[in-house]
Amino acid sequence: MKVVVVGGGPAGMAAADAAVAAGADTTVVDGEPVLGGQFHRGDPRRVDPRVRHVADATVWAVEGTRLHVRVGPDGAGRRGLVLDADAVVLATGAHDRVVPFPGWDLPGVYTAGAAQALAKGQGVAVGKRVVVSGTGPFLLPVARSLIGVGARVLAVCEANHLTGWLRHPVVDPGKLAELAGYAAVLARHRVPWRPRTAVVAAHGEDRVTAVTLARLSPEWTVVASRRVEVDAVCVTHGFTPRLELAVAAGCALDGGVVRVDDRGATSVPGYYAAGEITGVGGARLAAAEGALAGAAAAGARWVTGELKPGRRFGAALAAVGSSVRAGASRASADEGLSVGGVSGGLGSAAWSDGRSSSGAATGRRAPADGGSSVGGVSGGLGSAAWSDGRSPSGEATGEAAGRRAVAPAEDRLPAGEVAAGRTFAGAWAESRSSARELRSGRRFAGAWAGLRACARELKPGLKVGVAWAGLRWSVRELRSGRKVGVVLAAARSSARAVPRGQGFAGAEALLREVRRGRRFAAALAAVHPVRPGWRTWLTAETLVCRCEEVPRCRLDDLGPVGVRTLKLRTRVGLGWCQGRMCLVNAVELADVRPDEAAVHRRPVAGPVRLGELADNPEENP
Amino acid sequence: MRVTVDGVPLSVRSGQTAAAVLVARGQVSWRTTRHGGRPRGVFCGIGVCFDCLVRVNGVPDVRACRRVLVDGDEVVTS
Amino acid sequence: MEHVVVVGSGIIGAACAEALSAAGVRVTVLDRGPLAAGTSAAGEGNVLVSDKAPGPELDLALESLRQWPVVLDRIGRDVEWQPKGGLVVGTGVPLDAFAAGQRAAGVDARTITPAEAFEREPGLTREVTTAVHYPQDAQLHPVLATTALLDAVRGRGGSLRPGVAARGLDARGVVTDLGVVTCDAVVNACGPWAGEVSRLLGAPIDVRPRRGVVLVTAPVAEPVRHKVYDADYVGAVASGDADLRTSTVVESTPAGTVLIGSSRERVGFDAAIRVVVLRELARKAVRLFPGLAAVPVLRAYGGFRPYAPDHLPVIGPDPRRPGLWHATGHEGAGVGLAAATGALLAASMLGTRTAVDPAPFRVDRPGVALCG
Repeated sequence: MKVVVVGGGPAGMAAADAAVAAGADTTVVDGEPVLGGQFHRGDPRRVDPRVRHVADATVWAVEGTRLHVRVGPDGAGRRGLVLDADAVVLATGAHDRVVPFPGWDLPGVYTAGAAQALAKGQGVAVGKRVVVSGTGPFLLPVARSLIGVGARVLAVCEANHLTGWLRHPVVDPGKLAELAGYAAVLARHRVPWRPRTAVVAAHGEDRVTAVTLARLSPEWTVVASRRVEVDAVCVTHGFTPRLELAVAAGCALDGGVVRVDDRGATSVPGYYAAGEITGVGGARLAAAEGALAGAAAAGARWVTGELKPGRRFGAALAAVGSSVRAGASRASADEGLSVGGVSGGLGSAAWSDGRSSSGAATGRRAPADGGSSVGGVSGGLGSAAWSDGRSPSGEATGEAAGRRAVAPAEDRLPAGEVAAGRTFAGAWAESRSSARELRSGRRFAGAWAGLRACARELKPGLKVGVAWAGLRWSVRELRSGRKVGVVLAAARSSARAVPRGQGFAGAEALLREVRRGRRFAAALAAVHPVRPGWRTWLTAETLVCRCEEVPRCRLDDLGPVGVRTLKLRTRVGLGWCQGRMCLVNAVELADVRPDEAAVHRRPVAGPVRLGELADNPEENP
Repeated sequence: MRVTVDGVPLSVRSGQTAAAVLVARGQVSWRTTRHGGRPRGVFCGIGVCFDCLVRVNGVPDVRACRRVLVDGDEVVTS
Repeated sequence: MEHVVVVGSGIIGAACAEALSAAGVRVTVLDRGPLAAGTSAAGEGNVLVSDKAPGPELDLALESLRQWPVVLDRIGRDVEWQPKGGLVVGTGVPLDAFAAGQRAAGVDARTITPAEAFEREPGLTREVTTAVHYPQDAQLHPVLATTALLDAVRGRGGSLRPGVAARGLDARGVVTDLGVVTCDAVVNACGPWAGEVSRLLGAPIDVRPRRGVVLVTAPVAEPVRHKVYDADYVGAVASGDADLRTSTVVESTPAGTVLIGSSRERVGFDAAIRVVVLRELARKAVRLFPGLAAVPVLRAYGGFRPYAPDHLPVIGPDPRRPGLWHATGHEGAGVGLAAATGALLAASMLGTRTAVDPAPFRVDRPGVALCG
């Protein structure tokens, strides 16, 4: 089974980990030199070492499940590659949508993603006096990153009003904590956060020198405005999913994203999708979707099989046993003995740093009797990926410990499982070291998170006992400064993960994560939409298409048109970016017959030079 | 690492992109559009918009935001 | 003849509608999709004589060359008409006999030396040994032209109805999915879909789709000045794909991009872009213009050409269904042949003198009209 994952962000990495854990020959093809995607930019990630990582790669065409790739940095002689897959997981992500406004094409106006990439990836500030404007939670990390590289953020302008969230309560402590963190940074730097406010014009000759900040009506028309001197503006009005490969493969769209089932299967057999191209909901949802899609693409029984809820009480009971062993699992893991106990520790990798990871739940099938199989090993893979980057200093020691742990494990495990065991042992070792590395504050958060999760998972009677035990543990660990959260999280993860009878609790946990994430995504879309008033910001001469320099007036009075005719008559979307920046806006400005796929139809999905195209590529090396 | 930008020798860190080097030097634009001669620099920063094109080692139309520089690279803006 | 319904809003339907409305006929144009969004939105806008051997199609093309300026004058719109001329080049393939035959049929075909060819096209490969210059070849923007023709029809009181599909004929007129449109005559100008529509209209004709793909590069600093064709067909044979033929055409557009066409594939209505086709086009373009190797390809687009078994257009009344006319089957030359096709159809329908002999294009010629 050959699985190719396109995209190396949270969704793609989780998909690759899950696919390889399920035994597939797995390749991840990504456009960046290192894994992590936009989300982890500047903070590279790793996947299971058995995954083949093709970096700096552009998938420029697909024919069925045959992928055409150029590999290497542009302008330096890229190599042609053809990959034939049995299944493809698309995790191509999204980029900022920016609605046009007068002056938006002046140098010094950046997408929020550009500011973020330059700050996080390159340590460069796009300006000294910056306004961040648009809608959505992404404004906040961008502002923080700008502050982090020394820019003065004059204002963070949110065009919508956050009271919308009151109608869409999302009880997600993780996200709230994240928000609180951003709020604290903004407050510390006295950065005003302004709802119902937006940059509606940029001014300057050959670069931006000022912007018009406007107070907006609920529909985004301008109510009042003032001018602010700046040397840079960062804008984002939500995200545009990168759908060209999905459309080229023939995957049906729905509401501007790829239509998928619970396991990420698209309308095209052999094609799976995960992450922002199935709906914008953040890295955690993306990773959960990726894990399911990767496992499904690889044909893993735990996810493709019939999912039967229930039987969790039994699983929880079993978990108690395994978590008791997990309490002693540090020693036993080193000796490669108590694999069942170890499986309990897997979740801890994810939890010990205070954050959940959908990857953590990937395919956990550890049997309650422990020790005889490494079914649970697969569950640890995602967690390894998640835990290592979060405590970078733990990596080296983790690897060393991993090597120690692997040797005895190999003696015990059936040959086919040795590789998995190796990975798992590495994951375990890393999780231990990451626990060690965490500062006590985060440790407590980890313990607390584990406690909460535990409480959620268990039947009421057990909840208290386990919670209490967990609390005692975490308190003790906080004091002693070692191994915090491990046991707690172990209890929780075992409770969720250990299947009994026909229930595949691992998949179930992921599905729960996905459902929760999608509720959040739906709320995000409802509270932070692009509202129609933006069209009043434009003048007749405002460029809609920055490549072909098409002013708005060229889109006026076209009459009803199709997307293709719109492009050919106005030249919107026919330039360098092929409509990636402008088409979603242009179709809202003109009277265009709805055709979602046509907006994203780019059979040449990435730039390829004529000479490269003429070359014979290397096939399935 | 040593590179040149429009003939000017510069020392850059490993992993830096051509765009980062240009922006860090205070350049906000380095090419103009075909029709209106409008200035263009970085816009999307992640390889989507193609505003930031430069010539690298004689190869035209390379996205500066995606091109990690290597020792000896010659970047020419237009 | 008071009211004619034209089914299909591509360049042929638009040209027929414009010619009829210019003659005082009220016209309604139906299209099941958006206007001008099918084959006419997927072509290069060729107005060519260089690629045609002597015969009825060349006669129609020469007449169209005369008609296009008349039509454009009548509708008064800029459609990026570029009388840029064509240049056919070969590397060892003798071109003289073909050109001589064309000259005898009235084509301005000038055999030039390789040095003259390089002067005309400095980027051309120096491997070129033979070249013929065709000053009459021209190009226009097919969607702008189609839209301009349709606008003229509307300006004369005609009606444009996108999103309305023809379902059949009855005694009153055309049955559509939005009711019956009464009329005196119906023109099936559905291009590659004309075969399918002719069956719905009760008079099947054998018109099929042939896939074509065009590559578009990024804007280049040194534009290609002519339409440049590779006379060498060896590559197409060597591709080992009997149903794939490419005959290279390289040309610049006013937007600075370079168009590289074009392929001919028999794949039904399969719209997938095949990489083997793109590769073949790229190879030949780079062979013809080595300097293009570093230029990025921005996009590829494809469409379907309508062709009849004898590769001649089908223009005229259908003897099986009085009131039904066809105008289709122009294969890759619809834009070039549209002006003469509109004039021929309108003249035939209105009983006035036609500029070319309509007989070769008649519907009831062998192989075209099928048994219902």
